[in-house]
Amino acid sequence: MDRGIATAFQRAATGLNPLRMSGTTLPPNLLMAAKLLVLAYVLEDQLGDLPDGFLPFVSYLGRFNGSVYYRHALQAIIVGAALALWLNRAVRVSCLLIGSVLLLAILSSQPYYHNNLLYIGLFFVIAGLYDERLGSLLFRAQLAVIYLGAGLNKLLDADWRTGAFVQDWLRPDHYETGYVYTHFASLLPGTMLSALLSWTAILTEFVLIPLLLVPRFVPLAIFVGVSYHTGLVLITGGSTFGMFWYALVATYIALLQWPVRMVVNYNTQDELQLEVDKGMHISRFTGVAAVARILLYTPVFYIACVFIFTMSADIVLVTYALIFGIAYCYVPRIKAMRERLWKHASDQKHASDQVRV
Amino acid sequence: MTVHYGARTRNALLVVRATVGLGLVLAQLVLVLTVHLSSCCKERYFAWAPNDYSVDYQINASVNGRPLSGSEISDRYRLDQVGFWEDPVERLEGLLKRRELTYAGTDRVTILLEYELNGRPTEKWTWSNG
Repeated sequence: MDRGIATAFQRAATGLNPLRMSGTTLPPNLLMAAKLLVLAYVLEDQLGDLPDGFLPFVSYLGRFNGSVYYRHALQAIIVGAALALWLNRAVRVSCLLIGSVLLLAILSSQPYYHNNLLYIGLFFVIAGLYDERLGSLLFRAQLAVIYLGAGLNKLLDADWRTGAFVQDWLRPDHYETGYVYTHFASLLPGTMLSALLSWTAILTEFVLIPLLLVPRFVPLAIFVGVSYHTGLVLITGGSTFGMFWYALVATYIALLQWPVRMVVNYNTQDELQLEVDKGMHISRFTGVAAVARILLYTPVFYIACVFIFTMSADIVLVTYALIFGIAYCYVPRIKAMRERLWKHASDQKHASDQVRV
Repeated sequence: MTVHYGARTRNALLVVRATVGLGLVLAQLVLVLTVHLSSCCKERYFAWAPNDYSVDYQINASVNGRPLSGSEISDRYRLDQVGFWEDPVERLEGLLKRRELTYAGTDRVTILLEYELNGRPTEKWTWSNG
């Protein structure tokens, strides 16, 4: 009996472990993404910016104009739900509460409206609505709509098509990297570099739509999406566009196919070897590719990144280093594929030459 | 702790989650297509047009003939008097106008917004309620 009670306490305590991402109604990577995003939200001091009912979208909320109690109530709900989320208690309800409060905050004040804050609210609502039979469909559909809106807005704007927007946007008085950008832009005639960047952004956003909506292309969508948004951080000298970079990367984390088991050991050549079991197949990696994947699937790495990134250290370096490490293992595969295609083409040519003779 | 539901409850939950979730996404899709493919809604709220504008602006306002200081403008509109705005300039204009329409009361307010959009020459927008 005593052992049973002790075991129950131990199980409860293990369940309260904030670093534990499994054992809830959300898949591990989605739970981790939600925890990371709410942590980033707090560390970026967004709690203090929650509004009262000043100039609301919904007129009823105007009665809270100037009310510190309203603001504190919003903050208290988010903090309480965030703590519950981190302690793995009622994770769905916590996500729905956080998301609902963030959306309510936006409806409470028109000056508070920003696309990045709207998306965080929607992220948590969608996380709370997760169902294993829907899988990642809602997240992928949400991202697709965002890229459709953003892509259309750019495509239909003449200043985007000509590069005039980028040329002005990346001025030194807007972003520090403007000094470097202006120098490179002057090496090409007119606004050519700016137009190139504009069209890269437009095409990337439109390409991401089918990549997200077709399940087999989702890994490629993750690679393209994270690279693209981190590229924007690079080009602006560290701007995360409020919470946008955090929210979008959290979403891409939620789209990852999370392993059910990982085994780390050393092979006969003394190389670090990683075996990743995703249920349907087992993949093996060595060296750099193995290290990158160990980091990719380790929650503590992401938590450390959130602390580092919110203290203004290098998002770009860490993110691109991880992308490089993961993509590295595909280099030999791409080489092998290329050699096979070359051999196939060469065999076919040889066969057709023999027929002619 | 996970609660285990019967098949009927699980199916009902799936229907509710899918309906709400897809409903949210579809509503956004309708807004995106309406806003971007028609001439309506130049302020582009809820239509996913993030950080697509480069607007350097300055707000000047007077209340009952008295010009407002920078800090008074910030308190009144919850916006910096001089700033860099990355959303549609119509949204900025709308915020200033609606603030006064909602809270001005009997005050006579005149607003002058000067801005440069995407590097073009300076433009002016004015609004007054009397």
